Formats: sequence, C-alpha cells, structure tokens
Amino acid sequence: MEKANREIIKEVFLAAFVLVCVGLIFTLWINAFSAKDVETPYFYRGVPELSQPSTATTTAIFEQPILGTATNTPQVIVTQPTVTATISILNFTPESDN
Amino acid sequence: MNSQSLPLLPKQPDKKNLPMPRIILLISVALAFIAWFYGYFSSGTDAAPYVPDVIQGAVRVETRGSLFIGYDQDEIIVGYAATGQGHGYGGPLEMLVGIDPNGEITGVKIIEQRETPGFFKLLLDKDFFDQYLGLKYQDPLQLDQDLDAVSGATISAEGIATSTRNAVRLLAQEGLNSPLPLEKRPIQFGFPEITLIGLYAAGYFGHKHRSSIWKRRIRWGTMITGMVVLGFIYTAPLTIAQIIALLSGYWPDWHNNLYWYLLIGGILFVTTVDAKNPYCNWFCPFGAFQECLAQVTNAKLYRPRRLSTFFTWLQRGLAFTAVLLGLALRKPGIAGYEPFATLFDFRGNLIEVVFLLVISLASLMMYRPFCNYLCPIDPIYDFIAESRRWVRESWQVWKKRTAK
Repeated sequence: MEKANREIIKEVFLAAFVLVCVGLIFTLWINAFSAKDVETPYFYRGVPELSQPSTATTTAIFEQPILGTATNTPQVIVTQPTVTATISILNFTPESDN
Repeated sequence: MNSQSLPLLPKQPDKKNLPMPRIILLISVALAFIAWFYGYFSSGTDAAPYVPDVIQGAVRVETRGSLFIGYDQDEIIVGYAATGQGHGYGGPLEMLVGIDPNGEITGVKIIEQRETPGFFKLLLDKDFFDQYLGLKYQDPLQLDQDLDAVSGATISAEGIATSTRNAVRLLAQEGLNSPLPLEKRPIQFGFPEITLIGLYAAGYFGHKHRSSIWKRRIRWGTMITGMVVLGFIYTAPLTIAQIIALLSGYWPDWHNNLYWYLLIGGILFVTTVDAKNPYCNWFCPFGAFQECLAQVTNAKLYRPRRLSTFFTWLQRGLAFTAVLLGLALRKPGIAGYEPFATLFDFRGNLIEVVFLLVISLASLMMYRPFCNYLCPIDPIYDFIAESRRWVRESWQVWKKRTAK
C-alpha cells in the first residue's frame, strides 16, 4: 500500500514536471512568435547637404599666461593677447537616421 | 510450407488495416507538406521600398534587373543598390546594400532574416553594421579581415558578411561595370569538424567494442568531449532548428558550413542506413550535462509504464508542433525550444533560464529528463526508424512477389 502511494506521488511529480515544462515551451513559442519582428537597422554615411547655406561658428581662445619675467625694477610681465578663431562650415547637416 | 520456413519475413502489412502509427506518420507528412507550401508562398520581402534608406539623396529609384539605381532631384545618379543572400543560424539572410558611384558603401539594411532575436541584439550591441560604412567595393568584406566578428553570433555575422559580399559583387558588375574577380572560398575545416569526426569514430568503435568496461569508458570520453567542445566551446549541438532548416531547403554554403553538413548528414546517414542513433547516447552535449548531474545523486531512469505512451506522444506532439511552426512561418530559429544556448552560451530570457533550472533540478532526481520527455530530436529518430521499417517491409513484400 505504502509502495503504491509512493509510486503515485512519483508519478504526480513527473507529470507536474512535464506539464510545467510544456507550459514553459508554449510560453516561449507565444513570446517568440508574437514578438515584433527584429528591428532591421540600416545605416548610411551622411553626406553634407542642405537646401540653404548655414553657418556654424565656434570660438577658440588661446591664452598664454606668462612668456617671460624681468626681475629688475620696474617689473615687466609680457602676455600674449587673446586669439579668437572663427570657423565657418557651409552646408552642414548632422549625420542622418541612425 | 510451415511457419518456420519464413522466420525472418515480416508480417505482410494489411492495407485495409494500416497500423495507427503509420496512419499518424502519413498525416504528419501531409501536414508538414501543407505547412511547407504555406511558408514558401507566404514568405519574401520586396526590397524596392527600402532602397532610399541605403542611397542617400535618392528621390527616384529605377529598377534594372536585380539592380536598383537611385537618382536625385536633378536626375543625376547618386548610387546603386542590390540585394545579396547568405545563410545565418535560422536560415537565409537577405541584405540590401547601397554604394555611391565611387564604389563606397553608403548603407546596408537587412531585408529578411530568420535569426533568434538574441543574435541580432548581439550584433547591434557590438555595432557590427557600422563597420560597413565607408568601405570600398574592392575591400575583402570578410570577418577577421576588415570586419570584426561578434563572439556568440558568429554564424549570423558570417551570414550577413556573405550576403553583403554577394550584393557588392552584383553592384560592382552591374552598377559600376567593374566586375570583381571570382571569390576564393576556402573550405572551413578546423577543430570542431575534426572533433566531430573523432566523436563519430569513437562512438562507432565504442559501440562495437566487446568489453562493457571499455565501452563505458569510451562513452564517457565522447560524452565529456561533446559537452565541452560541441557544447561549451562552440555551442553547436544538434537542434530541431537545423532539422527545420534542412526541410525548408535552407542549406548553407558547404565551404564554410562543413560542420553543419557533417553533423546533420552524419546522423541522418547512420540512422537511415544502420538504424542506430550515433548522437544522443554518445556525444549529445546536453545529454552529457544531464548525465553529469545524474551522477551527483545517482539518479535513475524513471518512466512509469502506464504513463509511458502518453509521454511518448506528448513528446512527439511537441516536436511536430515545432516543425510545423518552423515550416509554416519559415523561421527555424525560433521554433526550437531546447535550452542549449541558455546553458552553453549563458544567453536567454527569464523563461529560458527558468526552463533550464527546472530541467537541471529534475536531472538530479531522474536520468536525462529532457531527453526522455521533451527533446524534439528523439521523435525525429522515431519517425526515421518507422519510415525505414515501412520501406524495408514493403521492399521485402515486393521482392517476394516478384520472385514468385
């Protein structure tokens, strides 16, 4: 009797294992087939092109602190003047799409 | 003539009372054909709408044979595009490639693919597609030369590289009028192929060996080798996706997919000719993994007799559903449900991880639970064995009739 009961318990465990696995397999299939198709990316190299000319400006500041120092009186400090550079880029458009 | 004179002759099949397994076999084949035809005629994508995506500035696209020509607003040619095919993990891949009139690649786009989403995520995460931009049509466009391969998605990356090369070849010839020399296709024969042949040979000699001790030793040797090399190192076990790809007609180029042919061809050959299964009990990596777990707790095979038939048909039903889904939707890669990649490549979603954990836990309690109750490969062997038996019986009956 006890052996029979143990056998029934083992069978129930086995059936539970198989049913859980079958449930997981069906969930996997549902997930896989209902998911949106994988993104199909595309890339291309952006070539500068704009319908009307535009200008982008950036400023670079160069400052050299001290070039030389005279120790005698009166003390003289020589500094380099601030330099501003302007770069103009025509027909610039950011790289597109991706 | 007494009954002993024909001891080996099988029972003559009664056409009026065809056994149930053979009726089911016939129905299965019929359904598989229907699924195949449905999938074949419902698949395919038109590439033309995507051409402006790969040729910048194209406002009008002209189709000339298999070549797309992009024109800008002033009707000046701004580029060419064409599609090329390759073979990924789940089947054919089709890429649309655009080049400018100087022969520089301006864009690539996947038109059709059947890969598992995980493989594509890897390729995207590693910026695999970005590598193409700016390359010239004369460049090799080969993995490990001017393109970096992606570990974990090698087959998909190889498929994309092949399709892109094929498209560029067409573009060079038809768009730029500058045909490329014939591509050298070296046969890829390396460690996995050598290991596979070695495993077949070891399995054959192990099977024939008289000493059960040696047979057992050889078997463990092949199992562990299979698990380590074909499993953890190359993640290349036999899957239902490969069988579906085979049935779908998605046969990859043998030059760089020799392993695929050796694995599937070898197993199908031995099973059909010798009615033996050279794989499952000898070097299946996942079977070996389960056996290793069973060794820990000394777990034994458990298959209650009164539920055996039910479980057998449940397993066959699962395998058949996977085959039908794969054929009908032309997506072998996602019809499979084996947790191989989760274990050997540490890749998978939550459900796949839970599935693997459940099987691993069960493997500590019983011998090879996945193989015995769930694996879709086992029913494929049953199918081949039953078909083989049927053919043999019919052949013998026919021989007997013609001898009279």
